[in-house]
Amino acid sequence: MVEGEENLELEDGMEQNLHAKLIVTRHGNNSTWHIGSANTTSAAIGDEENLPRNSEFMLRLTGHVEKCGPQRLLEHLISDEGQGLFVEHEFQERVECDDAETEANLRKLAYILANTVWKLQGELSEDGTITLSLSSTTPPSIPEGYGVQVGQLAVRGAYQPLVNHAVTWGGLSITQVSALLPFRILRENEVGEAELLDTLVIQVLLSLPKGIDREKLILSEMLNSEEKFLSYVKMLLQSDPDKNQWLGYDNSEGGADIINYFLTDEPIFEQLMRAAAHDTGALTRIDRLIDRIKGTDVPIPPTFQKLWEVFRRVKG
Amino acid sequence: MLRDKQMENIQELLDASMEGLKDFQRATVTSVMESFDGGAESNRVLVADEVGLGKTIVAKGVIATLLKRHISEGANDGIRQPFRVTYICSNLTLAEENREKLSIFNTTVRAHYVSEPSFSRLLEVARNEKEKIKGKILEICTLTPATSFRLTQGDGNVVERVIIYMALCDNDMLSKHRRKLRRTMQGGVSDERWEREVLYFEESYTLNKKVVRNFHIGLEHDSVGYTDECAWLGLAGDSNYLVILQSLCSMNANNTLLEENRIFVHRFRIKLRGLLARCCAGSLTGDLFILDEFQRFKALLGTDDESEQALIAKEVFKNESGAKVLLLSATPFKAMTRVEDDEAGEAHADDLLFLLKFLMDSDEHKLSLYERGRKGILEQLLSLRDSNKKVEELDAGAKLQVETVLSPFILRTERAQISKGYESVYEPKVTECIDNFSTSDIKSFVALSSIEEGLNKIQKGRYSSQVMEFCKSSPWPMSFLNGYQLFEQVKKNSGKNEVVSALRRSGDAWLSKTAIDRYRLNLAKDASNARVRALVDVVFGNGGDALLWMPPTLPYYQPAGPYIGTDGFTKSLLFSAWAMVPRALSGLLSYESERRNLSGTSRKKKGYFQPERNPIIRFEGDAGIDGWSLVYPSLTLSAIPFSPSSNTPRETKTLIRRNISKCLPLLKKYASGTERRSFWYAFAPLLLDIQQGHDNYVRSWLDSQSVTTWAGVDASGRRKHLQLLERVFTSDTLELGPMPNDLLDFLCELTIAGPGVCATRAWRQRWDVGYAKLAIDAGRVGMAITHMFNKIDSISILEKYYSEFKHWRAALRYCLDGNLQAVIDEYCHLLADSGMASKSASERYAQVCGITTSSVSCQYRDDKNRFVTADESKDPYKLRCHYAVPLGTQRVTDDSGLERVVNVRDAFNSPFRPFVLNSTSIGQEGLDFHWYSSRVIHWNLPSNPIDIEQREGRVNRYKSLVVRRRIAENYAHMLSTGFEGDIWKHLFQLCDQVTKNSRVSDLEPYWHLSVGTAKIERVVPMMPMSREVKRLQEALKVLSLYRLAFGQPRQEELLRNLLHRNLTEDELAHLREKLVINLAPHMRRKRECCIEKTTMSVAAQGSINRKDEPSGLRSSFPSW
Repeated sequence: MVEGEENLELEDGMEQNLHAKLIVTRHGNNSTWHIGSANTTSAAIGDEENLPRNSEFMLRLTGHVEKCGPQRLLEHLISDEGQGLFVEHEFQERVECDDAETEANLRKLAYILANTVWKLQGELSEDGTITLSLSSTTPPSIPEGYGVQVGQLAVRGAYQPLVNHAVTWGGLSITQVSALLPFRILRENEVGEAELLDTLVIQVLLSLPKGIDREKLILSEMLNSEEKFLSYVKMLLQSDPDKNQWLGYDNSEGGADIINYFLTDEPIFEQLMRAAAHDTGALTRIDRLIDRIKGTDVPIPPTFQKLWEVFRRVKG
Repeated sequence: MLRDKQMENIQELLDASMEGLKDFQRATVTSVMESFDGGAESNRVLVADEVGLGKTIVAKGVIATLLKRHISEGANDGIRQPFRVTYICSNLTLAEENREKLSIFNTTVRAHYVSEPSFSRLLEVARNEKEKIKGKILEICTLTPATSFRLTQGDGNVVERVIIYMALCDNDMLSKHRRKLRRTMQGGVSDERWEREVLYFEESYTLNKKVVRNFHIGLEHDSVGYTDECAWLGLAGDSNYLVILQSLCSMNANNTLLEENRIFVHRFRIKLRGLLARCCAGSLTGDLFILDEFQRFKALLGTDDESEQALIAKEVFKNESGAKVLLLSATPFKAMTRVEDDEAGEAHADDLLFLLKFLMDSDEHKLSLYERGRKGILEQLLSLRDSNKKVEELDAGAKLQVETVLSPFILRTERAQISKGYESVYEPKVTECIDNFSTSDIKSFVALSSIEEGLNKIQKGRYSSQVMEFCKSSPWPMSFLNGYQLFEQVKKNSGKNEVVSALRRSGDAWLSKTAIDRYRLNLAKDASNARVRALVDVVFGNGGDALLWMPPTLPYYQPAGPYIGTDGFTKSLLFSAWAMVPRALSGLLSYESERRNLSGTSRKKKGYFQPERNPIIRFEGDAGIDGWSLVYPSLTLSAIPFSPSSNTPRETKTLIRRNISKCLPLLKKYASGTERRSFWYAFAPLLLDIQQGHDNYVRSWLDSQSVTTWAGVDASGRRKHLQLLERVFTSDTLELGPMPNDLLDFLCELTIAGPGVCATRAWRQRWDVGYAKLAIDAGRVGMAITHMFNKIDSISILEKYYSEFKHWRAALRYCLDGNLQAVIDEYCHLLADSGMASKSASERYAQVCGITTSSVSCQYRDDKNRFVTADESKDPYKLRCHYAVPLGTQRVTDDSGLERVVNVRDAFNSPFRPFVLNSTSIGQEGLDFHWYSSRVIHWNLPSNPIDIEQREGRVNRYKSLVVRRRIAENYAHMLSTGFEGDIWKHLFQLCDQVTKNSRVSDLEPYWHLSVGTAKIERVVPMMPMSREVKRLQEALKVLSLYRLAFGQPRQEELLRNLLHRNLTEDELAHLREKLVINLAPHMRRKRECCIEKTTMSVAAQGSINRKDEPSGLRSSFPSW
């Protein structure tokens, strides 16, 4: 926002290293905005010998709470028909079933849907994506005036009407595949529009083609680079870091400086060593991970592979 | 008064002394003179050349130039006073060395023209010599304020106390108390000594009237500030010196003997000495003051420090007499400071500004000009944060402004500024030691961690991150942690259950004594540290374990025996941040070198802690006298020349054989009787010389041997040997029995490689000292080298490789295989070139060959007493250090510590062992290690990236190993066959000639040679995937840019801004041209000269191509 305005209004607007905040408070009928960035750093306030280097400022705006209070701001930010900065989750209105008949139909239909043996068959496409088709041996009979849609939990707008023939979804990645499917029950109203009556999630029988180990596929999709693999390993190695130990770090005898112990997360070598000494459980976790990704194309950095071999030997 | 002829002579000598200066040094001298002539009104000029470029030489050039002026100015009315230079530095050794160097003339001329220094201590300024010898033109005085207070008690040595005493006696109020004053000043010396000193003073000196007058004024007017003591004497609290003195003098003689009185008198003497010192400092006169290592004095400038150092600095800088002040310092300010330093009040920008204020004598106008320029540069740098800003658009105006303001005051030449391809001499060897990583690394860490955990149960621990560092730094860390808090805590709590049980599980963190004793540990396999296992391969390289000296850079024939395949071997300089590292690595690597030389037989002998000390070459008692043949500096044999070739040793022997067989008939006449045949070996070389009429030479040598006593050992055994050797003079009746069959062969080997013979040959090519001195000096070298074969490490090497020979013959064979002559020639060249005279050079051999094997203590797993504090000097289980030695574990605050450091440096700068120097940060600055090393190992990364540069600068210097190797590679073939003389001198001259027209400066070929394959290795062994991997990358980036931040505050932040831009090679080149401050006089002169020439010839020829011109900025480290 800031940069945009700046570039519009100044002929040669310079790129600013601005990281502004907005703080909104409310006192009675008044609301105050603090916008900008003003930190009490030495760069900002200088010290005995150095003049300040940064220009720090904050703008204070005060107004009536109805015009600029938190509520008004929220409205502003998330309105605009979903085109605002934030999009609100759409909770769809459910039609209240007043009549007992509808209620009964709904229950019956839900019962039928839940008891149907659904088979979700996955096929691997040439482009590596997965196509899912849903079928059932005995298609459920759907009462007149009602409709059913089935979708994918992880894919927005994937609802399709359930008709006699199988429903298919194409171009899915393995991580999007789930045996849990959302079903919507709809009914046509007086003006011919479909009203949502209910949504239910049903577990279906998922079968993937032979050779697709879904767990492994998910792992390889998640860990599709050496960096990601290493991050995952580091996550597994994270025990409960005790910063108090570092605070007491005694640097009087020289050696590495304390700042690194605070600011950078600990590299793998050091983490592995500590785990070997204090938290062998973490090593077991890595061991399991390595087992699980056997046969996948998760790239393991060769150095790590070698390093791990040694740790595994100690563990064993 | 000097006669015209003499004057002419002197002028010539002075001109000649300038000839020796390299072009960039001459440029600096010229610039210094310009500054003194008005460029710097403060008369203060700082020469801040990078270390090793010859700041002392520049100082010498300045002296010569000023002296020349002094003489021509005084030519008409005669020179009344010699030109006085006062050289001030921090230690005596340096003062002595540099006083000689700065005296300009060579030894013989010096005696004529250079007067003895009037003072070498501050208090000596208070006395004048009665008879100054006339006709002297130069006087170099030295002061070492930093050590003079330490060397004596605070109340001065006897000479100083006599001066104070005489100055007191000169006071009217005190002169009647002479005897009592003596009682006050005599201190602990005997009556006889005191009287002798007083007599000497009265005969040779008078008091300096001005100093004494001020001293007397001080006595009367200054309060001593001894409130309590004065009360004790019954005096007013603010009594002045005179009152106290009078009170002391009126005291009863018996009273003065009271203990508390003695303490009082002692403290009072300190005060008196201080007073006189201040008066002396005020009267320091001279034409030129030189302050070496100026950064030490700088710290004293703005303080109330009362030390002698501060006193002198302040008085020199008051500079009322208009004397010129030359300041020398390679590191006058911190070149780059990090955020932490800035916060600790040690910011680079402040440091520099403080220095400038001082140099410019607070000239506000100049300072503001500088500030404006600096801010201009900062603006340029900050503009780069905008990624649209192109490097080409930068403006060099501000940089030029800063250069103009600074250049009269600061002259700084850096190697990279005045040479091409300087960076390419480095070869990075960065290794993540993954292939060496093993389970023992982990076990060692787990073991040390368990100890830490045990401690934690007793008290809240704080060693967690140290444990990691210890394990990364050393195998078996617990064994080397003595002195660290962690170890001390374990020791203190070693009786407590928690620690006891932890210790029980900590075996993997300790070294085993038994394993060491039986040589069962193979460091390359068993060390519980991947980096050490990798290091073993690096430092032993291609067979270093069997070497007693470095393979020569230019062998005279093919290497043989242990020397086969060892070319390219280099000594290693290792830097670490932890004091435990030098201890651990020196002991362990030396152990490993011994283990590698164990042969089948010696393995069965005694263990490591009771080493086999036999066989050795003996020079006394009933032992055979054969060893003397190796020592003797034979004239006859050394006169037989041989020069570099590609022959084998055998072929070389064959060539020599002809010469030797010509001599042998001379010895035929002794081959009668039935004497022990083995006498032949020792006698033959001596007899050959006697046959040639060199009786006196042999006599001088024999005499020099008889005076030697062996470290307090009774010399009667030695006399027995010498009496036997004396028999060579009874040549008429001498009967040695039949010649041994191998005598001819033996003499051939002796001619080529006998230590005494080789030394003699080398000496005769360099030092023209006459036979008597030659016999002594070359003989000393022969003895030093021969004796080296008696060291424990040498014995096993000889046994392994030459088991078929007797020890002394094995030693000779070793010398032959190792090209000893080439080794000695190369080392002698370096010694002679550094200005060493014959005697000092030969003593250097004795010093480095005879360096005592130091040893380090460590604690063992299987030692019940591992936590018992014992006298370390009596510890029988120390690890010997010979292949590798520690540096920086010594204290350097006193002169003996410094001496040890210098000894270690000298040994490392020799071809002989040690081959690995393990240093803490102490070795980073001021010491050079380049003669025989072209490998720097960064064991721990320094916290400030520029220290990487500092460390590597240690081996990249004048006539360094890498330069010599490149010269040998490229120029050795140009040597004419049958060359005789100083081969290295010749090669450097040759190279000088060839590169003359193509080089940027005279840095080539002496400091750097751009052609050749030899490289300086930078080795960085790291644990795989560890923190250091990332830290190194960051450090190198900073290193490539930090010069841009010259003078700027918050350098680290500033550089971080630039790092984001990932500049290309070309952009970097632009950057440095536009923004890096260059204060090198040589380049400025070259440029000016270049511009002049261009404008003078055809103005329209186009712009000056400065693309090739090197600049102070490291380009980058693409190969890292």
